[in-house]
Amino acid sequence: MLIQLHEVTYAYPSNKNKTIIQIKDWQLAQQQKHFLYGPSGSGKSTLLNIVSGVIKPTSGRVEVLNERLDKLKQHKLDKFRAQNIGYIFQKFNLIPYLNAFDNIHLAQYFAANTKKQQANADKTIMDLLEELQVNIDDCQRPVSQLSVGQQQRIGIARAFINQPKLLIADEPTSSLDQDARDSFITLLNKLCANHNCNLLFVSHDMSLQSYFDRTHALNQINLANKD
Amino acid sequence: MILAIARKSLMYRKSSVIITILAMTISVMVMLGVEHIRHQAKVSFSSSVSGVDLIVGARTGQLNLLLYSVFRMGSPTANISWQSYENLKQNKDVKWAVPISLGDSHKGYRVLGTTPDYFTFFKYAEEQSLELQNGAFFQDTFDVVLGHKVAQQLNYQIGDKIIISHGIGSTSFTKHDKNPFVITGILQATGTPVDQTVHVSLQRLEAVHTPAAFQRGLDLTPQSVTAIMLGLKSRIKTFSVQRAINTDKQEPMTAILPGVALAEFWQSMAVLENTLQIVSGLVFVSAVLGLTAMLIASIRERKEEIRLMRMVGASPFFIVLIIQIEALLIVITSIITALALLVACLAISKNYLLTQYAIGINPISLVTNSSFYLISIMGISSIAALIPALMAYKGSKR
Repeated sequence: MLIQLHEVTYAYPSNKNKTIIQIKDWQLAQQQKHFLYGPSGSGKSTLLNIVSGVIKPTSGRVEVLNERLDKLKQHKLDKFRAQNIGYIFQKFNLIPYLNAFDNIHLAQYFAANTKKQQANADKTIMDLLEELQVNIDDCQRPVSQLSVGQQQRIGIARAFINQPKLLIADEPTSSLDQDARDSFITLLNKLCANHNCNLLFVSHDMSLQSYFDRTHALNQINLANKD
Repeated sequence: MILAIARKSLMYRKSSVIITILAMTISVMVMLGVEHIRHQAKVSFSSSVSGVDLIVGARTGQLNLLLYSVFRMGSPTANISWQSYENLKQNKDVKWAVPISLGDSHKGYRVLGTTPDYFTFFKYAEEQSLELQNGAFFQDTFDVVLGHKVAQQLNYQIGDKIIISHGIGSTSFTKHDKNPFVITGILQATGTPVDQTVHVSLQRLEAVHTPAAFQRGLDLTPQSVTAIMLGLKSRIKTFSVQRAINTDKQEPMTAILPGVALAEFWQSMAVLENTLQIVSGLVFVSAVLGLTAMLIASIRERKEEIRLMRMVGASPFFIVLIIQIEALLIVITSIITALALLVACLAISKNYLLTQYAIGINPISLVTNSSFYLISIMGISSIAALIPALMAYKGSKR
């Protein structure tokens, strides 16, 4: 299984009475392209934080790539996330004061187990940037000087650098027009196929579901927000 | 890696970082500067006399006697008779006795009448003797030896003739202008009140004041002197000699131990000292608060950046660490800048302090108290940076 949630609940520690997530059972199979439909206010960010191990659920069982995330210690969670999960945000995918190369390198730094792995990093980064058709000269410039399109491609490169088994794309197309959106999703699908990576694509735009194998509607999965 | 990120992050927010560094630099400079000058002033102050076991004057307070005999400040209450000087000189425990006479001045600089023995026995700092820069110590009643600053400020050379005035201040109406003195020697700088003193022979001073008797060959033994500096054969006798002088039946006199009096005088300045330290401490506290405020503001605008780092795999500890390192980088940069500026400022003001206040300032050294201060500065800043760091930590767990 790719993702398996069972009896998962989440409430902020500061406000324990208000349950934000309440999921009875949710399962996502491997080798499929998943579309998660989540309008704003449906607890989407919290769910993604739980799935990626940034936060732990208040109760329940969270299994991602057959690893019990609710049982892992914090530092193991961070390592697991760095090594196995690629993440693409709607915006702010790169740290603005680092150049493209350093941004990708940072992701590698968190995932690497040994110094040797870090040393081998440079070639992998170059190959990936080439695959994404990013001009190598631009990689030494601060990312804030690059165009939005370039920034997005570098963001994708960063998400793929550690050969993740799960890529979470959180509203990555919201700020794109129709054509750019289509080519972006096509690119993402192609990369996932090439790198043998499962895709979880999150959007509030239902019209995108045709690109994916399975559609999940968060307002049906999450029983917490029914007030 | 983490250091490079912290450095680039600071560079990215240059303007607020530079202002924070400036505030920090000023506070560190004030703190170290105050500490250094305080320390140096104390050293310089306590080195203004040494090798003198007792100073004897007319019955007065210990502080008053110290001020007029060593620092040429204020006025002597009364003189002591020449007979007392003779008696002390004959005392079996006394190795040497040097009389000094004050009360006249030359263009605002105090004139000190004494005997050639003064140059042999008077010491300053750590038993350092007075050295000549030019010329010779006076032998004859016509001679005058100038302190370093007097000669420098008034641009006097060996052989120049000068006139002394009665009383102090540069615009005295009674000038002893019929009796010029000839400069025979100029002393090296000492960083003590000696630099601002005009030394003449005691007999000559007496002659100036009694013009009728002014003829070579006449007995010019003075009637009285202002104070007497004593060197004892054995320091163990210091207190018994002091008691003997204080309880002298013939003349009411006071004897003080210069070291003790200096220390006591410095003690009385403790309020000033503490105030300076408190003020510099407060300046530092405000700079640390500025640093914390700057970091907190940066955490707000870096919310997304922190979220991104966490998602890429950064642990909450990494986030705390990066904020701490940024704070430390700011503090270390400030300390280095402050030290550089302080060294430059001291180098520039060294002469001014020496000539105006007779305080000799050495170049700053990090081995003394300063290193304690620097470590405290870094420690306090790290503690203050914990507030924004923990805020970032908490935010990153959302």
